[in-house]
Amino acid sequence: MYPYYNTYSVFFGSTETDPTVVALKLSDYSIDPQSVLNALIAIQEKARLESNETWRSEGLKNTSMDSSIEMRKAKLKSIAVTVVDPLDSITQMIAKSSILSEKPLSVVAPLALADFATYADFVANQIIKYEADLTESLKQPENYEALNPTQKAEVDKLQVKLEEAKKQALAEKRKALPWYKTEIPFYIGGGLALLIGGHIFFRGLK
Amino acid sequence: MRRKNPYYGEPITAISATVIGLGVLAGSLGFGTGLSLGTYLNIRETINEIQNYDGLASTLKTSIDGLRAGELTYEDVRMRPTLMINAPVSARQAYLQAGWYTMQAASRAEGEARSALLNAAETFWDDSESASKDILEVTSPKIHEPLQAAILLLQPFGENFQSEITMLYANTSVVRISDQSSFEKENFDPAKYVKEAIKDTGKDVFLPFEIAGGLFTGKKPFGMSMFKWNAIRYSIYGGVGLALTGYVLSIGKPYIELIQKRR
Repeated sequence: MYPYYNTYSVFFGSTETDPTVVALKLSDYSIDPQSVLNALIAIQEKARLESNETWRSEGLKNTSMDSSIEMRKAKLKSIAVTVVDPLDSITQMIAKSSILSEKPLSVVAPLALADFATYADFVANQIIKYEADLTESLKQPENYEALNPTQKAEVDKLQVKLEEAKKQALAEKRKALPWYKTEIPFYIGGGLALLIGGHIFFRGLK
Repeated sequence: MRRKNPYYGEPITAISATVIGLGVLAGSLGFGTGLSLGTYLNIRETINEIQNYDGLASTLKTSIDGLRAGELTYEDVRMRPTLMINAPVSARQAYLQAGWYTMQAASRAEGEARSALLNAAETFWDDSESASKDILEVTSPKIHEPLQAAILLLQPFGENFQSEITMLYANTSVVRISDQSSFEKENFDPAKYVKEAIKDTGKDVFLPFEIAGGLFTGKKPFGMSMFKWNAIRYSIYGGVGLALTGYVLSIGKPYIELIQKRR
């Protein structure tokens, strides 16, 4: 019906002539972009329903997060279809889901936030497993040193991206944990500072 | 008072500096006002054009032609009117949105891709011309198909058009379409217009009676500002007062003349 124009065939050529040295697939670890997208959209939908339910129970009939959550889902979908590198794609999708750790959602949809923390932890763990398996697979049957420069560059780039994705997932998990948003760390830190400071003041350093 | 410019050693006067400063300020203000007024009028004109389907379709066609001729750039067509941001409720709106975002993407593309996207945007525009403005069911393919077609078209270009693809995906959201549809059904219902028109007409018919009553009770007629009400009220009080004084004086005039003659 409408003209279809694939720029990749013009600008980037076919990728089939340059086979990858990495045989491991993200889908084997359930962290390929489509799986991550589906999981994050399900969590966002849960947050939407949960927040609406919370507000209805408080008598706020016309308050909802419908629009902002639907926009965020659209953003996740567009990342999934436009970002070519799968690890970049999942890193960006995890980062864009941080709306769940921000107010008001963190307050009105705590169950969805807990799900997100669990899922971010799952992604981080799967990346760690993937990294470990990658390192292992490079030892046998061939050593990293035996790879040609192009293959080495591919593996190095992959490891950098794995680190980024892992950091992002762990950071989002931390933000989504219940204690992260409260003043508890501040009180604990302040209390410790007072104790240590008081001790030094009255007893002196020995 | 004359003093030396410490940097150039040339004599300058404080007053001339002030005059120059004021001159520059006045010039800037004049130029700025003219410019702002011109810009404001242009913006007003554009806003009026893009608030309805017909104006928006015309703006889309003009933008496609301007981009094709190289007269417009992305900066000229980057605006996103409300009708393009809100989730679509009719086939015409969906086609216009597909065309609008394809046109915006085309403005940032080059070469063959640019002309292919402009052709696609024109096809969407063409389809929008014969599409219905009626509010459709939330899951109607007439709403979803044009937007999905535009997504498929832009998807291969990768992250370059992520913003446009995000908007297209957002507008295929059943939740957003449902919310928008309920809003429009509630607010743009013809029965509601008729009801409001009858109510407004009733108010207009009874306004003179309300004013007449208000003159004695002091009660402000509904929908009128206090300033306007006081202006009307005291004008009438003044007029009636003058007329009454004149009437009383005219009745009393013969008696006054009689008294004056007896003296």
